[in-house]
Amino acid sequence: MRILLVEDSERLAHSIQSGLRRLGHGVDVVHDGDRGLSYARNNPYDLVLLDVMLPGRDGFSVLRALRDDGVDVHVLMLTARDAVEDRVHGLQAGADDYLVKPFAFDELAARVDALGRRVRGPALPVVTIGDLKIDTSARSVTRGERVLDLSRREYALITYLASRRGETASRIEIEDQLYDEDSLPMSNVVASTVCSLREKLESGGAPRLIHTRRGLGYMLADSPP
Amino acid sequence: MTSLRRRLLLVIVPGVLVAFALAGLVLATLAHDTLVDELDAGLLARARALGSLFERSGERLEFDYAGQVMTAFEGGPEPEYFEVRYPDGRELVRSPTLGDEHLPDHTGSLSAPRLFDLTLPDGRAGRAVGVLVPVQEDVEPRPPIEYETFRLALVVAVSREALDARLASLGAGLAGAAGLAALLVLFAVGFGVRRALRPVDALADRVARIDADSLDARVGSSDVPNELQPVARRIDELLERLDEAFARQRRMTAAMAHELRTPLAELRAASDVAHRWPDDAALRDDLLRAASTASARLSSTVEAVMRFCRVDAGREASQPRDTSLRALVETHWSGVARRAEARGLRFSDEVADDERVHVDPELLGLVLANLLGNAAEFASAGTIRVTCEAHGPTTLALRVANTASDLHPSDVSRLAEPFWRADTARTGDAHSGFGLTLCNAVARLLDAELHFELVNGVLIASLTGLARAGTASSRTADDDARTRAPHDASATNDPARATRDTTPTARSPSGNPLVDGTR
Repeated sequence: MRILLVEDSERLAHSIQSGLRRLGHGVDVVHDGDRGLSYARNNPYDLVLLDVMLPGRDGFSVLRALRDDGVDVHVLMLTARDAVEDRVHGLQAGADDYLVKPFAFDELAARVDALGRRVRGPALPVVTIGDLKIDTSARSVTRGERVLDLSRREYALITYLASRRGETASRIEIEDQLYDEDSLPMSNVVASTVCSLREKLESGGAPRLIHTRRGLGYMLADSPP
Repeated sequence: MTSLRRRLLLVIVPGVLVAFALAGLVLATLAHDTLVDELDAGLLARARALGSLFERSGERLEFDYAGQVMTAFEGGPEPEYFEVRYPDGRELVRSPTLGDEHLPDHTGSLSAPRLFDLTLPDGRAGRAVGVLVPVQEDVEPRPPIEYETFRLALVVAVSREALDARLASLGAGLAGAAGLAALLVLFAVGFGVRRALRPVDALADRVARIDADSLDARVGSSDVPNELQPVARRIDELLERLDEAFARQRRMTAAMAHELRTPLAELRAASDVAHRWPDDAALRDDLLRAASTASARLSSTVEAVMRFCRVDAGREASQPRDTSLRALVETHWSGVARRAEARGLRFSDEVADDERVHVDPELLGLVLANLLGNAAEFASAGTIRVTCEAHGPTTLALRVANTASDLHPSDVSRLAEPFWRADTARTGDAHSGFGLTLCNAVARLLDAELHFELVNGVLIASLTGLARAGTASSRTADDDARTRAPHDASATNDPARATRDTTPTARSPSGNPLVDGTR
């Protein structure tokens, strides 16, 4: 998923960004409300992690502005305020979820996944395509009896393609999902990741699962389109 | 305690009923007297009429009575009676209705006739009048009546049953009217009291609806009766103060939550992520550095709060000694001078070289370091000025002034609130917003007072009441140990205090490990 993290604590933002990136998400970080609003308005994020107390606009104000503009991106609010009225205020302003600091990173990751499922529709914990099995809860990928050792970028790519099985995902869409602005993907970086993933999937002479549709993008399917 | 309505009813209703009863009694008495007077007037008229029938001519006495005209004296359904006697009591004549009976021989003069009740010969209740009537001389011209000397004792009696019946009827009417009036009074008083107390009920309703969530509501005095306006105004004043106190408490709670939860969240996130990818050495080192910084920040905040608690509870002793004020200012300015210079600020220390105070230099240093640190960090431009002037015969006032264009006048009263920061987002680690709260408590420990004012965009922090060295107010070390450490068990006979922790707070050699800013 492509995530925007709006958090004024640089240390907390750095930890969350590091963890979420290792889970395969593209994470952009800004530290004030005005930039957060600008980023969220102008980029197709799947999720915004939004702190409440921010320099410039506060989190509630950013959220209201987004909703007023018709931006329906999912928003998970992060805040040190734990009073019931604060939670109610956040949810009434249009937040999808609310997490009080301090929180366990695993809980944040689980909530991010849950909101991700809302973006892509309900996902099965195990996706099977031919002899390929993707276990999203265990974050493991097997082909036949063989367990594949994938990098986080490769794992992110295959789960994204699996979430759109039967559809063609363009290079731009893949870039948006897998890379944040700090990654600055070059034009061939997606092709490179696809290539290395194919090598791992097809080792031992297994049939191709990632198919190239020239000029359109890539598709994950057990037979060519 | 009973209700106002009940109290009013308990006072008004019996009062009105007693007033009605008294009025009824007076009315009944007047009616009774009027009716009896009427009867008595009739009796007296009869007596006069009978008396006028007597006439004396020499030795001869004539009585021109005609029974067919005065039929009531002859008998009938309502017989009347008379009896005439000579002055010596001998009977002269009596009405046929008396038969063998006599009327009592009670008489008075014409101007003061004797009127009395009696039982008539036929057994009925009656009333009688007895008078001495003068007998007219049959001569011309008639002599004045005062010269008449011959008088006859005349008693006339009639039944008073009709009178008694009228009095009874009147009494019953009055009693009925009184009962009806009592009911009307009850209704009217109840209605009136309820109506009169409506503003009180409305005020009580409005006050009852106010709870912790609606402290911004006000009772208002526009539609409140004059008598209740002081109450309404006072309630509104109290609500205002309560609302401010709640708002201050909410601000402090929210700020404290942020100051404590944010570094905790940083620690938790760093440790969770590092633990999840233990093989990533670069990530682990990165996160450990972040965790270390976060824990230092948290530690600083907790230390400041703990020290404030000790100072505020009087568990930290002041150890005053003669100290050069200028040297103290310069020492603490040197710690922040580079920051100020980097921001283009100038510094003017206008404290005289020989100005000395008798205070605990570390505690005063803590206050100075906070004030100067704030000035260096937040002054908008220009010069930071430190001045000192006499503030009473034995005390000094130390002032730190700097421009503060970002400060709103309403912020000044909040400067020393726990965890207050002008930056509402509370971004950054340099300050937790507890420094001036601590300074305020330390100032009290120094027997001084810290206050702030904003004059034409210049923030002036004044520390007043500092004891000047070498004056009567600078006490000996022993005096100070006794008077400035009120909870020191050695200075009191209170055995409970002897068990308290009086360990002086550990202090760093540099003076102020807890230097913190508020803005």
